[in-house]
Amino acid sequence: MSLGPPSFASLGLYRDPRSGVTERFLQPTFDGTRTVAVLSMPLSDPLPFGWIITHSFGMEQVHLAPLEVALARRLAAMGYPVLRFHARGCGDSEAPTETYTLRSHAEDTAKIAESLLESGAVERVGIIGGLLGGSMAAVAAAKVGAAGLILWEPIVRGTDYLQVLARSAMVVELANGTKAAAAEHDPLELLARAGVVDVQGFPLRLEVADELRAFDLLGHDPSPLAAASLILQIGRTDAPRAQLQRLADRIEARGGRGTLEVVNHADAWMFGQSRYRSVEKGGKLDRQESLSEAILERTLRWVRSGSFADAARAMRPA
Amino acid sequence: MSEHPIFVPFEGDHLAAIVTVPSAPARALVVLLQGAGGPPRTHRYRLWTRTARALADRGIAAVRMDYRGIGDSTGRYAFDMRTPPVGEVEAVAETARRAVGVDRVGLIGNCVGARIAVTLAARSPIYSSVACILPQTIGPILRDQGRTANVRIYRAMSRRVPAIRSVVRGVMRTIDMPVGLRFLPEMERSARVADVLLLHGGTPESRIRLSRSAALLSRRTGSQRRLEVWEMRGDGTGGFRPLEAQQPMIDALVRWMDETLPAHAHAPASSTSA
Repeated sequence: MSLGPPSFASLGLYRDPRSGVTERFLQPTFDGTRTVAVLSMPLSDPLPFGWIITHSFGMEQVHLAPLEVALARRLAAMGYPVLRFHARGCGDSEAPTETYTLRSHAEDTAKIAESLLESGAVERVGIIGGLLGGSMAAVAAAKVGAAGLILWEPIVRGTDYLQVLARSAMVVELANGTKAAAAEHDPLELLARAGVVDVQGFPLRLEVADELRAFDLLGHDPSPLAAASLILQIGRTDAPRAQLQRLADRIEARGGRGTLEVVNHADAWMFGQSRYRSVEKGGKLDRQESLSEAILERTLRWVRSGSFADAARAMRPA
Repeated sequence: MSEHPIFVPFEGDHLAAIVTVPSAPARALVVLLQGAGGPPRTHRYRLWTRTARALADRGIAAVRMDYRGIGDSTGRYAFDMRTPPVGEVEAVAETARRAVGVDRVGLIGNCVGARIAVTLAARSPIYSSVACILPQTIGPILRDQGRTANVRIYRAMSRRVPAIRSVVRGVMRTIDMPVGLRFLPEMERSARVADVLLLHGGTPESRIRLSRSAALLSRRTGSQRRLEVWEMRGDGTGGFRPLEAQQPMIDALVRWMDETLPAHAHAPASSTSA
């Protein structure tokens, strides 16, 4: 018996009774260009509070994806609808890589949050992001009036991040023995001359660099960043960093509930870096498994915690 | 061009993939296979996203996928070069092929993706064209990853007596017989039945050795199929870097598939595989 060719529509989702989660591919449009998103839902009784996960920049998007996908599925298993997506110029987006800007990333994040609200599936949204994704989450949260915010090691000052990108570009070139002459020059000088510089295989354009130089989360929009916020510091010390503490304090000062927690882990330096290393006989091992679990556990504990859970339960349908 | 994200059921898990379909009926389908180490279906630097769209401009459909436990696929990540995820790829390729309605498939892969590509091409005539991307090492398509006996001896000796490493290296070079590379059996079988491109960066010496070995293989098989070695332009030891090396690589892959896959769309084959 011939079943006929499979249809794309029928393959766009799956249900997994083992995990209690169903996922569906969506193809939202940003400024006329399509992209890809995944909506994770519980199999039954979804809460009227949804989460948006917004990725970081360049290869960090790839390296953080396993953590973000795991979080999406665990939140969905707890009852929360979760939407993760590719911003314009990233991943599976139709837009060329050269169109990416911080502005477009924040806009796309806000727009997808709004679209989830407009769908009627949820009444409130929260936004989640790591590194630059955390920064974009915070900016978008202010735009849409998000009720929740989870930031993993957010970039507070863009100039600091720009220096990190420049150093990583130089280190890679020196390690590879490539462009030795160019590596002697400051990548930011090269960027100013050429308009684009190669950051580990990704183009960093002058426009984005200028946006980073001007970016300061502490100097951002004066409206409350979010009603209930978790800022997760991921490092090798228990002492909170001043910058992140100021961010949490600022949220409190604007009427939100800002919580700074610290994940002190020996592998913290790997956060946002390549995860897999070669082992014997051609195998590959995820060296961040323990760190990821620590981050997930702390994040989910906060979601289940008093202040946030009370707000979510108050919105559950009768 | 249109793109269709799908989940393909596989052994209790679900493999995420995106099928890119040209506006006109597709001539064939190309499966894009990244290496191990976590790159998702877009590959690093959106290489597969860009390649799929360039293929669509030539009337060729493409599918890019997340291996189990990677990206949006479910399941647990577990990788071993000796047992690459051929079954996963076959499931996604066959689903995409039937959905698109073509009867010829090309395979493009780097690292373990190259190994999977030659393995599948060796199994079925549906897979009629292969492109192996070998930025630095040729190991993925060689027996024992290219670690021949003299290489193993050298490593064992230099671990015991590091001081004489340079001496051993020189001696090993002089006794290394200029025989052809020892390709995987799957590589040899695929070269008999499919058109195979080896896109290699490496060094001038490694490219010469690969070209000579490929020529030996062609003579040995007596096959009339194409088996070619093209130079992959790029500077340094990092695959797919620098930035300016990426587009020429994509162009070469698209050109190969354009030349070796059917020139026109055919009527869809029956759903039973060969």
